[in-house]
Amino acid sequence: MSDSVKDWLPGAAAQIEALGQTPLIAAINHSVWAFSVIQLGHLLSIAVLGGAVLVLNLRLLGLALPTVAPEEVERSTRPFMLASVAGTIVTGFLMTLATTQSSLTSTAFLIKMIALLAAIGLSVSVAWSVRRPAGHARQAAKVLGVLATLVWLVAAGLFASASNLGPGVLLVAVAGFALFAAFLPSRRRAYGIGISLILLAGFGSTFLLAPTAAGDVLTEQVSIGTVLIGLAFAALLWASEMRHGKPLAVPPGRIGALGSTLAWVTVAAAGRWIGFS
Amino acid sequence: MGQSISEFLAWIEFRLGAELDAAGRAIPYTSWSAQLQASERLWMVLEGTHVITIMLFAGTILFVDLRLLGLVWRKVPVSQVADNVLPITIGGFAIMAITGVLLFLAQPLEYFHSLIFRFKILFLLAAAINIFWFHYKVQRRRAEWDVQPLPPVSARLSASLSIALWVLVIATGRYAAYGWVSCDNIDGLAAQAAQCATYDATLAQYDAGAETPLMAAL
Repeated sequence: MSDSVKDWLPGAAAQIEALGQTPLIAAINHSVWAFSVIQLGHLLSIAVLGGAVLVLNLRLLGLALPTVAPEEVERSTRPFMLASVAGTIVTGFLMTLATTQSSLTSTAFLIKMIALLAAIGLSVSVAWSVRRPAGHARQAAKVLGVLATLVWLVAAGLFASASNLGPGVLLVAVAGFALFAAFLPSRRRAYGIGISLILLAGFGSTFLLAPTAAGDVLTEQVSIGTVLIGLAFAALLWASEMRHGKPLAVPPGRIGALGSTLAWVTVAAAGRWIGFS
Repeated sequence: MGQSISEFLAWIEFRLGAELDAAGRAIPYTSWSAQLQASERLWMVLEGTHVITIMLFAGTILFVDLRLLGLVWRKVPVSQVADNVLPITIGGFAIMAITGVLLFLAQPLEYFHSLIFRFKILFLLAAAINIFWFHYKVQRRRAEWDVQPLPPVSARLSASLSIALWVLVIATGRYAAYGWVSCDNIDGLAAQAAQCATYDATLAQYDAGAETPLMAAL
């Protein structure tokens, strides 16, 4: 059995397919322009969503707007976040209805839907924690964050194991390591040089040794290399913290910010790969 | 000049890195450009990165523009927002530019003679002019309005232009990728604007195997 919405939820898939037969969707499919305008709306919503998610999360990671209180950043990005999530979902739903044949049978589409649930959950959890709630609300934000992270791990696992989606996972991995490196207190430079060397070595050796298989070999080398160097530095960091007799201290808000950013990058990458696969 | 650029791009697309046959002619689909176009996964990584980085680039510049419009962080000095967020925006732009140039090199001749792609470049140039105008004219007196919740009209005008132009760059970029409008199906003024006669002439030279002085020089 392959992994797709049709395989996992045949009942829901049948209902979506029925919706795809309605006159409105038929009209969208009939006019090339209507579909392209919806796609452009989807892309512009993604741009606004990216801004709202990144500005808040980079603030929480201590990488942007250090003088503005996190609560203030959360409050001012919230309307854009809500509007752009609504925009991507409405346009995305219309695109799905217009392409049920390919979307409901696509593994990338299934991954995108799972990652979307995780991303929304993580963003809500981050927003709740930023507002510094007390008691039960604080616990609820934590529980939601943990659950959403588990859902994201399912999406990431499916993404990494799907045979033809490797390059998409690579983007998520690179985004993750870049963010991780950016908020490392030290060794940022060594981390950056390490990743650059891996990328350069991948490019160089690919074009010298196997120019005809350039795409495939490059992707494989870079993915493996990036994972290895990421693990190596994580281990190094952990070891050095241990040597000082302290556990790795990362504030909880930071983990949520990192997770939510990665979950949204996963949604975007899986979304792009629906079109490729 | 259009002819020289066209021939140079044709040389990149068909000759650069290509294997040559006994007569010294390029064997089709062996140039680096053709390999990039055919290498599914490498091309996907470049295209996927280009599209997804919109979140980083357009998303962050939007919030700087919103501050200039007085719509967010009204109590935070403009200089603090700009100094903190713009380095991230510039990083995003660098990724977009590198992947964008590489994607262009996969089919340089077709993009150069694509009417919609030419509009995209025009909007990019306009956005660049707007940035320079803001940087050297509007921002010169920033100290006077740095802490104002609502910056002066010139700053708001520049921010509105920025948002409008980046929306147009994204839109024309999206439509250029569809390839609906190409020299194969346009004529009249549109064909003139895309210099389709030059495109046909350049292709004809390659089909006939003729080397123009420029190609020979390269």
